Amino acid sequence: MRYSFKGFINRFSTVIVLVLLIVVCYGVAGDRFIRQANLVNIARQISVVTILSFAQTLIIITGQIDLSIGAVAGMAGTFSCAVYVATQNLFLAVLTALVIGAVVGLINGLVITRFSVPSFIVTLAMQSIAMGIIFLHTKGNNIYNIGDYKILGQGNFLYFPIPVWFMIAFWLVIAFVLKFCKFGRYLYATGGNEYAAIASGISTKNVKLLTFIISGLMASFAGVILMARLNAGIPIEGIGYETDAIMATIVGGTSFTGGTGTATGTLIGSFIIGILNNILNLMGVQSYVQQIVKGSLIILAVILDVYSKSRKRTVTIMDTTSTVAADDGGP
Amino acid sequence: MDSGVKLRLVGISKFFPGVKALDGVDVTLREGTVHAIMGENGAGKSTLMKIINGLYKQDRGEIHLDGKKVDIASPQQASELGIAMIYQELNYFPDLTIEENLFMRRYPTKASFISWKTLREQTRRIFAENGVHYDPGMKIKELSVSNIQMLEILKAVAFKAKIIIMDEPTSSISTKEVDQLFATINRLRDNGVSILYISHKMDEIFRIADDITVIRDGRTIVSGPVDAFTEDSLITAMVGRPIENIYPKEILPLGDTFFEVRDFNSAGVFADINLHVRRGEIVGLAGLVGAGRTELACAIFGMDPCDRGEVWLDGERARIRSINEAIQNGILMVSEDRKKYGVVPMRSIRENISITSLRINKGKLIDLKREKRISQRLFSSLNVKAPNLDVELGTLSGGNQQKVILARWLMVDSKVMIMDEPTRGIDVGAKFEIYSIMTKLVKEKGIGIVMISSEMPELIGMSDRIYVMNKGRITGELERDQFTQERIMIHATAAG
Ligand SMILES: Nc1ncnc2c1ncn2[C@@H]1O[C@H](COP(=O)(O)OP(=O)(O)OP(=O)(O)O)[C@@H](O)[C@H]1O
Ligand SMILES: [Mg+2]
Repeated sequence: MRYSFKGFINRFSTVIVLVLLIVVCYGVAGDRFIRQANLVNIARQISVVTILSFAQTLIIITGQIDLSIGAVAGMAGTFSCAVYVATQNLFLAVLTALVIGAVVGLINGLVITRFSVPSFIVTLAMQSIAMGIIFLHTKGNNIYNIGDYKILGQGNFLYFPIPVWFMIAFWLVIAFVLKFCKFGRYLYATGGNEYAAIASGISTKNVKLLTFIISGLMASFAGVILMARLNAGIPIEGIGYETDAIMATIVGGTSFTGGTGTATGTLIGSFIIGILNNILNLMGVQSYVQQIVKGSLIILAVILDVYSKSRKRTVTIMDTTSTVAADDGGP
Repeated sequence: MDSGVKLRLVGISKFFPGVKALDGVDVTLREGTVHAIMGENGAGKSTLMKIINGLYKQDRGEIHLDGKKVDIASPQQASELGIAMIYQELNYFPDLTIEENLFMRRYPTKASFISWKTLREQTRRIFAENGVHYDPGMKIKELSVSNIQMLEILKAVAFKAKIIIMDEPTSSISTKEVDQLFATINRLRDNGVSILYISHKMDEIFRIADDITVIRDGRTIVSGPVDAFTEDSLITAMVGRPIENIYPKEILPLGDTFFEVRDFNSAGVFADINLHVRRGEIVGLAGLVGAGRTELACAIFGMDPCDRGEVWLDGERARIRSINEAIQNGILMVSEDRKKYGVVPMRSIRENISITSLRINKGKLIDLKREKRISQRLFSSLNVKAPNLDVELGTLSGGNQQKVILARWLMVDSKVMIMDEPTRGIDVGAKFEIYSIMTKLVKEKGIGIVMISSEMPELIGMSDRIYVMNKGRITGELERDQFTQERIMIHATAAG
């Protein structure tokens, strides 16, 4: 009995945190929380970062990291606005964004897998490159008057804001892929033990390459929604989202070392952060303090992750550190 | 209290979520003796040892050291109490040198800086005292498993351990190295060190142990001096039923040669390898550790490159440039290094079993029902000890992890199965299961098996033919009626 209870806590820890948080918020802010910060509102606020978090989740499951998604969202979204302003063709505008995202992902993935460069470095560099390119193009200006483009971010459909529908769609697709598609299993195996994955016949380089392309695609789409919500093409707005995406992913129970993680966990993680932001706003807490709170939250989440793992598998962890230390670049 | 008793464990229990790993185990370790802890995979041996070494805390029970009750909260404290452990899965820092590893956390210092000169001197002294000849500045990753293990033992000795725990120390070293290890153990015993020894190898137990304790399902079944046991009574105590003949070999008429390896060469690793397998044949590959058998297997499997050589399958040349191509051709390999090339520790047993099968089957989606059904069947037929298919593989005992990895390859159709030390760390009962499966595979499916093994009895018991490798070359080929340990050893060690 004691143990099944513990198992329950372990399994649903993020859900429990979420529920507790909502209860506390209600207690602190009462009706105001219900009125102003209802879940639909929060869902709209977090839609962009959640889509980016799904991308980051896939990447972190494979044991990598993608620091370029924020910049890619900014670059692809802004280019897309530019195309829309020039052609008034929404389809073409979105397509442009997706192509840009795919190409960036492809480049990231190729450099990482073919030259065995750590993803941290490659995507950090890509962040800078993406920002450079878009600023070069816009000469540092923002793009305003984007007309109907804003529908994608501000319209409603069946009671819900359109971005929320997109978020839900991505959630379902990613959850499906991770649970029912072979590709999902390859992601877990690649991040869980790359050598074992290779020895089992999985081409882990291709798996990683594909994951970075997907990440680029999702980042660019999130960029489209972001710009539509802002009602302008503002490249700099994307920056910083990559860290928020990492936070939501980790708070949602994905292990930083790879091999675990779910879409639903990430969704919950993103809600936890969203609600936290919201309640702090309602309580009139300064945004600087909010940053401190968010940062502390991620440290807490990582400590919990490491702690629960060390209790489960003290020895395995000690074993893997010795092998992992030797082969940072991967095979 | 009673003289001569070094360590007494009373009623030790340990629970993991959903698993009763230990349920009231008693062990009495006498001073200056080797005490074997025997039991099936998952019986709780490693868990018990980790409790003694302070890595886990028991939920119930007491530990008495030299007649005094002690609490051991950490491996560090255990080492202060004179307890050292050589782990089943060795831990080391591959990029550190021998001396750094030896003095880890105990570096001699001078004005709080490490004194490298003293370090070197002390290392040399320890090596001299123990009659070993290593270069203290060598990196750990350049050493073989047995050398690393010897180093671990030296470390224990150098820091005056009075109790040394050895968890399956011979699972990855060769016969000759086992002899060396036993000589060391005997010397330690003569110096009054007590040793807790875990192994699944019967012959070793009767060679080295003074006392035996058998645990099953987390409980002490019997305990007594080694003379009180026979091999059969020991197996019966461990498994709970007698096993008549551990090698269920059936001599079958063999088919024609269908798999050939021609002129395999890899500079500095192996040279001029030619071998063939007939349908329904189990071919043994004997040799000392370091003879190049694993490297050869990896090259055939497309995992390591080779300079030159051809693989022929069913009368046609098979091009194998990657593991994927090997698997598509029906050539499989069960690696000897289950931790590195097998286990995905944080994923479930089910996912670990099905991964390769997914890779081969058509389609993008997983047939979850089929996956569940087949992995459940393999899980039961191999007798994997775990609460269910959904627990993380990393929480299983060593031997049970090995069974799961084996199941992964059994789920895939094969023509040739290369098994590199397939029964490493597996208990007698499960060994019997695996041999039975091998027999069934060659008999019913007509596949060929290449078995690499360092256990002579297993090679002799199960093979139809044995190739012997020595320093990267095949130095002998023996038919079943020629099998003897001596002949194999002669080929394996002949100068050449
Ligand atoms: N960290 C853990 N979490 C959950 N269960 C565990 C953990 N460690 C061990 N177990 C379980 O406890 C039982 C005993 O495991 P243990 O490793 O002690 O077996 P063992 O006797 O050493 O087996 P082997 O001969 O295969 O090495 C097994 O059922 C195993 O699954
Ligand atoms: Mg064990």
